[in-house]
Amino acid sequence: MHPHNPHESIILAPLRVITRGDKLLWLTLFGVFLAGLVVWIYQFVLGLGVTGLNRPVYWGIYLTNFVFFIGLAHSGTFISAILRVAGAGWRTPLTRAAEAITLFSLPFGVMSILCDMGRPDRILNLVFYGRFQSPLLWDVTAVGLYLLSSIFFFYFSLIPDIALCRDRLTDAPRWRRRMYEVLALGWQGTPDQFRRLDRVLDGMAIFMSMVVVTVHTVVSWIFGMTLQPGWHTALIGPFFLLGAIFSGTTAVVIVLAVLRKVYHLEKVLTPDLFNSLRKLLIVFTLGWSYMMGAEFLTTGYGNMTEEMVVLNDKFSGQYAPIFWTMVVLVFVVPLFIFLVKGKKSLGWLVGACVLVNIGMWLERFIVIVPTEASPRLLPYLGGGAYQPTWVEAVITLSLFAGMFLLYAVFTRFFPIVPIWETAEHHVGHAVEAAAIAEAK
Amino acid sequence: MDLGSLFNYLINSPGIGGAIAMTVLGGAIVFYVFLARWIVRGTPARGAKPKR
Repeated sequence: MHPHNPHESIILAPLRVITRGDKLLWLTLFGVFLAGLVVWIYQFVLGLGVTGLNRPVYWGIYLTNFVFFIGLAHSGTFISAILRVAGAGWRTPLTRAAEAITLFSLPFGVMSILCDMGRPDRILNLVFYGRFQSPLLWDVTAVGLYLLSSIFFFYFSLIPDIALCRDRLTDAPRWRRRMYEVLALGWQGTPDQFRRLDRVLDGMAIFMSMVVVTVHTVVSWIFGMTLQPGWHTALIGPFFLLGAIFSGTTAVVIVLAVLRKVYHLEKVLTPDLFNSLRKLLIVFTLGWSYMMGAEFLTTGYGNMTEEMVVLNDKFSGQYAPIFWTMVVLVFVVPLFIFLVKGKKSLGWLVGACVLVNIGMWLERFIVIVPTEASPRLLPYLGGGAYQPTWVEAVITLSLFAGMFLLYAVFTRFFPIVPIWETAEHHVGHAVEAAAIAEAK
Repeated sequence: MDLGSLFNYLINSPGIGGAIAMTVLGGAIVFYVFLARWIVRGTPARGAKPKR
């Protein structure tokens, strides 16, 4: 049996039809992804010389993408998990859309690393010869554990809805019904099953909140554990974490707004939901800006030679246009919109969120490249330069296309709004709802 | 071998780090698979025959 949800038919509607527009979109995204694959093979054959990477800038756009994708990935599960721990009832319609961002952006973060490697086949050396002394291995372990935990956290909360699809979408093609049947694991929706699921999700929510914090801190340590100017600071962990949650929350808003419009989910994804996210975003904007200010204040006050070369490069040197564009896109304009326009207009809110995401990508670039261009090695002090090539641009585009493709396909095969959890929100509690249904 | 040397060995030896990472990830997969099984089927009663 399934808990009663008055919006069930609205949420299931996108699963009943795959339009020509969908197929065209999927094909286009797949084409872009394939183009990226071809260019990556070209890069593999000719070597990293076809990119703008060179001494001393070894990590350019690819690592920028890595940190950006990992950042997106963190907020999805984090928002879902932390709001579950806090018992925020308004979160239920957005949890799956947020967790799906995690699931579909993490693999592309990993791919970004492979793209940055001249010899990607040597990735297995991490397993065979890896030393735990290296922050890179900490990262592999932490991100791997996060990916696994996110997949299962996502899957567990999906099981009741997969069972619902199995029972409701009886006119779907045979392979699809079989897929629902296998993935539902024989779920019957008994009160005991709901009770166990709730217990597991509650426990995992606490664990996931902790893992999100530790994983993004570990990602920042790839930079922070080196003695390079701009990176070697204890603040880099919380700074990365807050940036990730900030950009990820804006991504959740964008995704929810698109789903609301395209799948006509206005009754489920209400303006109140967006308003709650807007309030969170005001906190994140201010928090992230404070962290950035604290970082620059500490560095500037210390006035150490190597640190100041990088700082001046950002404030008034070759990276100043990117830096100040980032400040405007991430802080000035969005904060104004969140405070003044965003409450009344979803369009303004989404626009601000798009700006934040572009700005946060630039922010990752600004964290990585200026330090690499002026590392703590005298011959290169202030002398490095980095100019990305078309190869990096195409591969970057293809990674984003791949993420959008997976997301778009998923929303046509599985309910993107959790039906059983929103039923819980409507009728009190899923366990009680299931018990009532059983008594009937 | 004292504890300090053991720790040093585990951290610095090539391959041991990879083994630690894979053990963590492999252990997580096994744990989650059993968790999924428990959510759906629960704990079998003591002495009960496993369901086929």
